[in-house]
Amino acid sequence: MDKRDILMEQINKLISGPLTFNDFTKNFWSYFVTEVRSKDLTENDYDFFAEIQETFDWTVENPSDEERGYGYLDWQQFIEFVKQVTEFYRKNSKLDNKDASKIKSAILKES
Amino acid sequence: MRKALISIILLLFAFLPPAGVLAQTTNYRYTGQELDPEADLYCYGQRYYDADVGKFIQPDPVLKNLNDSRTLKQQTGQDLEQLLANPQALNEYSYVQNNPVKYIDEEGEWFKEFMTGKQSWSDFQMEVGEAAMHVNPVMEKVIDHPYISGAVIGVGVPLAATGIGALVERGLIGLGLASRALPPTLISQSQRIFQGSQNFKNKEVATGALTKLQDVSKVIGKSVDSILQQASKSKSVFTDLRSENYGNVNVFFQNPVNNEKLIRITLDPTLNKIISAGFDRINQVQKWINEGDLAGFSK
Repeated sequence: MDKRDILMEQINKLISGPLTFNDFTKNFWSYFVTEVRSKDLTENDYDFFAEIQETFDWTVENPSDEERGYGYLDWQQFIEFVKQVTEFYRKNSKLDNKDASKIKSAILKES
Repeated sequence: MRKALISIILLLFAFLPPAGVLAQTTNYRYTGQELDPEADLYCYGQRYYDADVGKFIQPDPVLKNLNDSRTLKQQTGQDLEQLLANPQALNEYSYVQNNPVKYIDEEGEWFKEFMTGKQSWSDFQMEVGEAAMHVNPVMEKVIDHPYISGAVIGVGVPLAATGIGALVERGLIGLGLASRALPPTLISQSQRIFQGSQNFKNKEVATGALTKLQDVSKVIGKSVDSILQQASKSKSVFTDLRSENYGNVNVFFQNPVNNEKLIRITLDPTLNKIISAGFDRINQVQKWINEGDLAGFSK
């Protein structure tokens, strides 16, 4: 199983439901920031997974009002974010920071 | 008054295209590059420079090697940490880190110390005339940090009273460089973080940020205190100009386990509080700088 498959498996598990916040931290976030280098993936794949990791840096399970004010997502919003960016990526084969920011902003506005 | 006027002229010169408006009889300007009259661009060997906007039209090829520490060191003489200490060094399109008073770039690749390159101080004096003789300590500081000159002038020096800070700001806007200058209100706001104790260990940390700091700590194998101490020492400080993060201050430093991802600590300067921590791709940080989303701040 290559690194892309390992990461994609975690994304699919997250979208379909069985993955907890702590599992995602351990199995996707920690793995991506320590084990994955840009040379391990195509540029577009690397950017796609990086946008998810960097958005998870601004996600907590139950943010306080103050944290929401700083732009933190809660766990359900993050799952929605991952669903939408994954769909975007599958359609466009590319996801840059501006696309991901737009999706995140729209989710934050909805709540 | 005369000195103040000279200072203004000198400052504005710092942001002008290489003598593009000072000499009209030759196609060779300033550091000897040839003007292509049809394209209205200067050829710097590796890339072209657009004097109208004060930027190269292609990125600096040297900065493509940010992930290759050996090549980077060979080509720039600096390692990544040194480069990160100077936010403007990561701007792929700027001419000599927006500091033509101090540096020259003869080949379009990296910069050389003005005083050790082909140009001498006297060549520079010939361009700006007598004004160069009147560089005072305040102006020396401005020359070192032109992109935050509003802040430098604003810190309790006599010239602030003459309104030069505001003039510089207007001058930069006039030259189309406003996106790289930090608005004065954000400069004073960002400065709050570095007033009093410089050690981030003594700052309040939002609950979510503490959780994230603990995650970063596990991943890199260093204590939260040690991470905050390292962040305090970092010179890679950027104020965020993106609308959703406007005014936040981001401190970046090297990640010991993955050099493609910088460790980021984000502070809210209005509350003087750490609000987030995590990792950002070095290439993405560079993009934000190039696109004017992050503005360098010198503490």
